[in-house]
Amino acid sequence: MARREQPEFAEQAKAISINLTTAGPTLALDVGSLYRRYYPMVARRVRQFVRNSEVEEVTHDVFLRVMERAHQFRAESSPVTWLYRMTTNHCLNLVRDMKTRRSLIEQFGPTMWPGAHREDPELRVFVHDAWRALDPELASIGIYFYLDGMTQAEIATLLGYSERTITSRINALEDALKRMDQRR
Amino acid sequence: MTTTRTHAPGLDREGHVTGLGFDRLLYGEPLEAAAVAAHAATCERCAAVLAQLRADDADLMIPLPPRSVRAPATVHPQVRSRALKVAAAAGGLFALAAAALFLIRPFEPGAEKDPADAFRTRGGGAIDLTVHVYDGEVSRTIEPGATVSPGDKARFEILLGRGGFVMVVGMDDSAEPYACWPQEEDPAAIFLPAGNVPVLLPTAIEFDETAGREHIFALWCDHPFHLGDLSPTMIASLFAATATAPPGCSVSRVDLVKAAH
Repeated sequence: MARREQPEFAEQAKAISINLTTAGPTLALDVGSLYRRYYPMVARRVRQFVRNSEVEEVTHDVFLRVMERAHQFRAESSPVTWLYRMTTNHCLNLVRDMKTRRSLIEQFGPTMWPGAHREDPELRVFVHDAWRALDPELASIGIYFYLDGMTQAEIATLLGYSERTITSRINALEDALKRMDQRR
Repeated sequence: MTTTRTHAPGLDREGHVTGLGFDRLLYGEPLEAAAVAAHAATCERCAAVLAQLRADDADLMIPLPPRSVRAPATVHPQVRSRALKVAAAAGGLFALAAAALFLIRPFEPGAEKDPADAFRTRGGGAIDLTVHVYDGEVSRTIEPGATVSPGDKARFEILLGRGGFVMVVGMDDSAEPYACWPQEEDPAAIFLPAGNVPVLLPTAIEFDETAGREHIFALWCDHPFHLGDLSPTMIASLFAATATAPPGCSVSRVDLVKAAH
C-alpha cells in the first residue's frame, strides 16, 4: 500500500525549509525534500527496531528530529549517512526506554538483522541485555558492528571518528561484553 | 581483540553489502555505490536483498495523487528523434552489462538498435532513462512500449554520461506535464554528477484508472532550470514523435501504454 505525504508534516517542513548544501551550491536540499526523497529509506531502518504498526509514527518522529538538527548537518557528510545515523540513534533511544525486557533480537526480529545469525557469544550477550546497559554511543557501535555487520572503517565513516578510535571502542565493547557474560 | 580488516566501502565483514551500502546504492551516491553495485551483480544473496529493498521502497514511496487522464486506449507512437539519430551515429548507446536487478551499464559503442526504440528516445550520451514498475507483487524493469496497469507504481532510473541538471517529467494525452522527480509544485532540476552507475531516483508515481498513452522523459541540461521554464512549445517538442530537446539539453523518453482494468 502506498503512503501519502501527510499535509501537516509537509507544511511544517516547508515552513522551516532549511537549505542543506551537500555537494556544491546546486544540490541544495530542504527538509521537505529530504522527507520526500528519503522517507522509504528511513522507514525501512525504523522497521528494524519497532513493530510495523509503529513504523510510520516513528519515521515522522525521525524527520521532526531532522528538522531540529538540520543545522548540524555537515556539507562533507552524505544525507544517506546522516539520516542512517540519526535514525539509528533515535530508534535505539526509543527502544531502550521501552518497558519491555525482551532481548534485542526478540524485540527487533531476527530476520531484520543480517548479523544476527552468527554464533558469537559476544553477540548473544549484546542482544540479550547488554545493549540496554551500555552507554548510548557504545550501544550504537554495537548495533553497527554486531547486528549490521559493518566494518570498523564503515562505522568510523558513519560516526565521523577515526578507524583507530572505532577499533578501540569495539575492543572496549568486547571486553565489557565478556565481563557481562562471566557475571551471568 | 578485534583486528582491522580491509573491505570495499559498503560491504560487511563477510563481504556482503551492508544496509547502509544498499541505501547508498539505492539513493544515488555513485562513489560508494560502485563497489556495492559490482558485488550485487555477482552475489545471489545480495541481489535478492536488493530486489526486496527496491520492492519495499516502491511500497513505501510517497506517490503523486492519481491523475485524471482522458486518452485513446491504443496508440503506437513512432519515435525517431534527432537525439536518437545523433546517438546512433556516434555509437553512444548504452548496453546492459548485467541482467535483471541493479546493473552497472557502461557506455558501449556500436550497440545494436533495439526494436523497443520505437517507444524510446535516448539521451544522446548525456542521459538514459529506465522505468521500473511495481505491480504490488513484483518490481520489474519495463520495456519501452510496454503496457502498465492502473495502480502500478513507477520509479525511474537514470544513467548520466555527463554531469548536469536533471528532471524527470511525465505527460499523458491531456498534454499537461507533471513532475516525477523532483516532486515539487514547480521543481528545479537537480544537479547530478556523471557516473557509470545508474541511479534509482527516490520518488514514484502511481498510474490512475484512465487508459491511454503515458510518456516519461528525463531531461538533462547543462544549465539550471525549473519545470515552469519550459514553454508550451518546448513541452510539445519534447513529447512530439520527433522529440527535440531545448538548446544545451538532451532528452531520454520512454513511452508506455496504460491499459484499463
